[in-house]
Amino acid sequence: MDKRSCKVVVVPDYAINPQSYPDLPQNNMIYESLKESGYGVIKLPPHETAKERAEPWIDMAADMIEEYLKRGYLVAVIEIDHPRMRAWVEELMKMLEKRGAPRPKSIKILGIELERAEKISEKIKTIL
Amino acid sequence: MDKKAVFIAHCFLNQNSKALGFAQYQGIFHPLVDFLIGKGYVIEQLPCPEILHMGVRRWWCTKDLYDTPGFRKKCMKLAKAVVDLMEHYLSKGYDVAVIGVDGSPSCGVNLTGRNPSWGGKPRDDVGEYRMVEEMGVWMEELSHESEKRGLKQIPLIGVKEDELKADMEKALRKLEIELRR
Repeated sequence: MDKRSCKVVVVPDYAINPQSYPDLPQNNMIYESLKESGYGVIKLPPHETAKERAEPWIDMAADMIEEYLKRGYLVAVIEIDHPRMRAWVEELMKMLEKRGAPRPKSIKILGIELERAEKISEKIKTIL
Repeated sequence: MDKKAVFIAHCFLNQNSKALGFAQYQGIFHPLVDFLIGKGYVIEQLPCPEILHMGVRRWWCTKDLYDTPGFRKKCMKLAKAVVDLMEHYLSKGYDVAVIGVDGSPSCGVNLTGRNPSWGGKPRDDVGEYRMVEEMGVWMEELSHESEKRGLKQIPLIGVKEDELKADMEKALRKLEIELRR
């Protein structure tokens, strides 16, 4: 039996690889919360990737968002409100707008919330 | 702790990308991802050329069906982006490894499925998905691109989902050994 949830989130690299961002809290709270809530994840490239090298990844994420939304899946984008975390989410949103594609839901996790599991979980619950 | 970046098949983080009928988890294939996180590895998610090319409602396919110039071109384009990222990690002193899905027509490393009679009007009598000891189309194109760029040998590891399902601990121990090589 197919167990898919038909729920997908696009996340910044930090959500899966916090160890690559030593200036941010070192925990896997976003990952754990997404796992518990049954979301599939599309991960954006690391934030230090050069813009021209990140572009194909943003393009792929945009293609997948379009496809999932067309098929009735729930799609959301998680933004982390931190200067180093915004770039690829912003590029993704710009790309979707340029394509005239529907916008996925978007939630923003504040920097101060990154160490508060209950706050992250609360935010993720608001996607539904 | 090893400084390693592991490029995993897209569906390990997103079971919603599987061909219909094959998602074993709601979202994340978490025993495998938890294991990699526990080891402290950086996790990169490979693109899924199947969903990008054929969409989420695609029919089940064999390697024969994906072995077309159009699908290979798609894979070549994706491979360039992946190998760019591998170069980034290698330049920072990381070891890089790839984990594919054995048996998959695109992501298989040691095993893929073939049957030349699949095609045309969907019907039940086309015969079984025959496992053969070959790579899937996507893994072939990814390894061509990394060889073309002269990257040091990147270990390609094939994980069998049925082995994970049957005995997760044993399958993860086997994976751990392969990742240490």
